[in-house]
Amino acid sequence: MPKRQAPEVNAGSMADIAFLLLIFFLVTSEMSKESGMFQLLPEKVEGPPPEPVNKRNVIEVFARSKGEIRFGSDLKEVKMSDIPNLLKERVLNLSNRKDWPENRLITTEELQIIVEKNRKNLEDAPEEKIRSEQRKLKKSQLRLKALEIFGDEFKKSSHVVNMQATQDAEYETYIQLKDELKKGYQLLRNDLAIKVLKRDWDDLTLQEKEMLKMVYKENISEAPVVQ
Amino acid sequence: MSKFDGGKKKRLEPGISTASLPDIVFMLLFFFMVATKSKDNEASVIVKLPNASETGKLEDKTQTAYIQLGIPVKSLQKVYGDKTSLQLNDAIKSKKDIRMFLDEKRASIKASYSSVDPQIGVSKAKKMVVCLKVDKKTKLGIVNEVKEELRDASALKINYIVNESK
Repeated sequence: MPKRQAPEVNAGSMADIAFLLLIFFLVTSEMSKESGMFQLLPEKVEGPPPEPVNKRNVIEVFARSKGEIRFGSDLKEVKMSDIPNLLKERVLNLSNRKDWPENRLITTEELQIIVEKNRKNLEDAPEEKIRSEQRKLKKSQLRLKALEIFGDEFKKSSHVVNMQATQDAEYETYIQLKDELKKGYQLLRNDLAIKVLKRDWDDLTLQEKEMLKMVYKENISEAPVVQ
Repeated sequence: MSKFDGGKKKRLEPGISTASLPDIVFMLLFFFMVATKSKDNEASVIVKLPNASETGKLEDKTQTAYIQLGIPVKSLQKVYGDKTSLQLNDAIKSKKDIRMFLDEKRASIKASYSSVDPQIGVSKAKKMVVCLKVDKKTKLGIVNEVKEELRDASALKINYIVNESK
């Protein structure tokens, strides 16, 4: 008896089916490309209001409707694109003006004390806190290393950017202002990277970036909205 | 000899085999299934995002809650008017619903990890990030009311979604 061959399944239409599925997924899905600006809101705490900061350390930024931006203690109207340089000027305070934020030199000893304290804390930490204590210790060690590398450039700045806005200011202005402030900090970091490490921000290692972020730490506080 | 008398005899062009075509297409398909996320919620409000350059990427999409602020779409304007409204999930809601919405979100994050390790679920729920998609023409007063509501619900990690510009 001749052997009967099993009829082959025609796979020619398989491609069509797969294409159909592919197109369906292309239409119903979106690439994940969302980017955003992160912010940590202050916790709601009952009790006395926080201590007022020395007036010279506060950098006032004020957003109003129709994209109007005011800057500094005299609330002078400025252009949005000037914000990064203005912020840089104030934070560095190279001319040591008495009405601009003060900078203080940090010593190796005081950072070493913090590292030791954190090390002790880690040893005594209960199970569930070990990870957060480890992170703290790492951070303080990194700060010590940053001081080694950047030396006197690593000053303790007591500035606070106080961001205010009116109720009727547009959200776009607010985001742009935030963006420009961040650009200001980035400008500071980039300048220092070129000066000390002789490299651009984009060519730095993760650790170097981390350290520069410690040297120029963002300190933006948001006041309640004014009428 | 016959090797060099090219052109005299008609040679049959070998057809390209399409047998591997389905495999290739399936590979593409799987790539897109993995690399994309489906549009899960329908827009009830129109959101035109502002531009910014100093942005970060969202690391983990599983622990995010989305809140949208904008003017309702045309078809919903009869019901909700043309004032700035709040969208949670698929529907337009009021400010007071934010709290419940966040609690539900936290519960669902916990639930998705409950079979693996409930401990992870709890910590993931704590790390939940609230993404704010706000239309650029929105007045800041409304945005701040929403932020106050978030503080009340102790959802402190927020992320303003923006269009990245260079």
